[in-house]
Amino acid sequence: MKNKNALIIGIRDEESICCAIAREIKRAGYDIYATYQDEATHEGVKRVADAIGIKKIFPYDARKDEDLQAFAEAVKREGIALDILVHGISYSTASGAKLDLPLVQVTWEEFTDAIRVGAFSLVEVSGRLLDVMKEGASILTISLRWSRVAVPNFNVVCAAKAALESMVRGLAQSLGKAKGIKVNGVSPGFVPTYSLSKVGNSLEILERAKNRSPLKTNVRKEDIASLAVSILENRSTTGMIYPVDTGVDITEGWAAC
Amino acid sequence: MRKKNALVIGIANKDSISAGIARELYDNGYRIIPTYLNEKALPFVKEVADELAVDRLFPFRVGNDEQLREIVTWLKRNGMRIDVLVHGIAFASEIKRELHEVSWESFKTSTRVSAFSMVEIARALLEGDVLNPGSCILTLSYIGSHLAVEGYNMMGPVKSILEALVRGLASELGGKGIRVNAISPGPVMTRAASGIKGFTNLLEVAKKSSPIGQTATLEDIGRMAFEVIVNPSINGAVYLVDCGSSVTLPVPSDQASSC
Repeated sequence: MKNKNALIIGIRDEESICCAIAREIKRAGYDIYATYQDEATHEGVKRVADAIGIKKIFPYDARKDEDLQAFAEAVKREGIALDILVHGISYSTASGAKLDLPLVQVTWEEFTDAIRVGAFSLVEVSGRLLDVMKEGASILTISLRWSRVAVPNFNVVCAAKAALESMVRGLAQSLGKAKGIKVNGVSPGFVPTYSLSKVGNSLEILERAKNRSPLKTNVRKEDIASLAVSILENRSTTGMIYPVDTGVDITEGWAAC
Repeated sequence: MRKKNALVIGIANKDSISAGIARELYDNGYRIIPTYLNEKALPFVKEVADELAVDRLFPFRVGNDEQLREIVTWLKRNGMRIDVLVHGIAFASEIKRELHEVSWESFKTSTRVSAFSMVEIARALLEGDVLNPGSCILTLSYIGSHLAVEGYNMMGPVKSILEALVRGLASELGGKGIRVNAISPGPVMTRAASGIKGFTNLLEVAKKSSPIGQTATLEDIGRMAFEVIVNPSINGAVYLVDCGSSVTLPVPSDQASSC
């Protein structure tokens, strides 16, 4: 059996959704490569890499042209042919991200920063790595219900997620045509991550989500990961965003008030 | 460990999507309890049932409460409870008519068979206390609920009703730990599909509009259905499995259109 290879972009620490996905991908028998954002986050990613058995980690900061260039070249130099690319970068965890601001106070530079990191990085990475992706390979990104609703003071993140989901459809079309590559997203309910802690009091947010869920449960990271691998390996799906949120999305708040 | 039980309503023959899902459940160790519509369908359902080591087949036609009671009684007598309900039935007597030509009688019947029956079956299982906490109800929808698909006619609004019922049941039954979801596959050549006007063309269009140039396989639909059934974090969702054909709007290039 030939090697199956996966590249995961978006691990920060043990709490990252991408970390849970990495574990599940490992279990499914893939060799894994990953990235870290910068020196400040290198240690956490290294720890995860050692624990899971990730083969190699590359530096990649989604804001830096030179990082993208160097990272893409490094992957090519390794001679890795990719079956799977997981993109789980969220703008909220980017260093110096401008969060908690009303839209009217957001500058154009800050806005484009959010869009590049939180969305366009998917286009850049998959475009640069197209050469090393196998025919029929599979790409998965991580979105959020926020792509479809307004969230006071976090509408920059909402816009990035909206763009991201549209890029899933656009890339599904263009990469499907180019190389039979499938592109999908999962849209999980809230789970405790560094990213969540950046947008508010995690415990409160999780408690509220739990109460809104018909099941009165929170999403488990291992369930997101299980779904992620199912989607990645399913040959009959592309261009989709799959919610995995214990039903929070379908409930209307007024009855609970 | 106790063997889990799946009640599968909607197998017409081996090509049925419900049959694909039943096969996936069977391969994962579930006991399959299928129903068949009538004597005419029995030999075709039997063919599937034999593959899945089914020891008991039940007749079921929507609206026949007696038949539902028989299933419940049998389950109780054998100390069995349902962990999975697959609802894969649809019917539309005036499917070949344009929507504005459809009679209320036909629409009403279709709504009952294709959508509300999910509520009725769930109710019968709940009242009989044979639905396990933590169980999952899965139904089958189609993108015609969101797009006006030529030839799908009255089934579009009916599938919209079905999807709203998925959300409604999911929010009502969540308190019992029961999840309700739908799979919405791209077109697959089944017995039911053969009744849709121009279905072969629909398959062709789906294939052409898919960025990966194919239509969904029964196996892939079965696998996604299984993930939805066993994943405790998926609830109230409608999962499209259609090779991307519903998210693109293919535009022929000038060259192609001038040919």
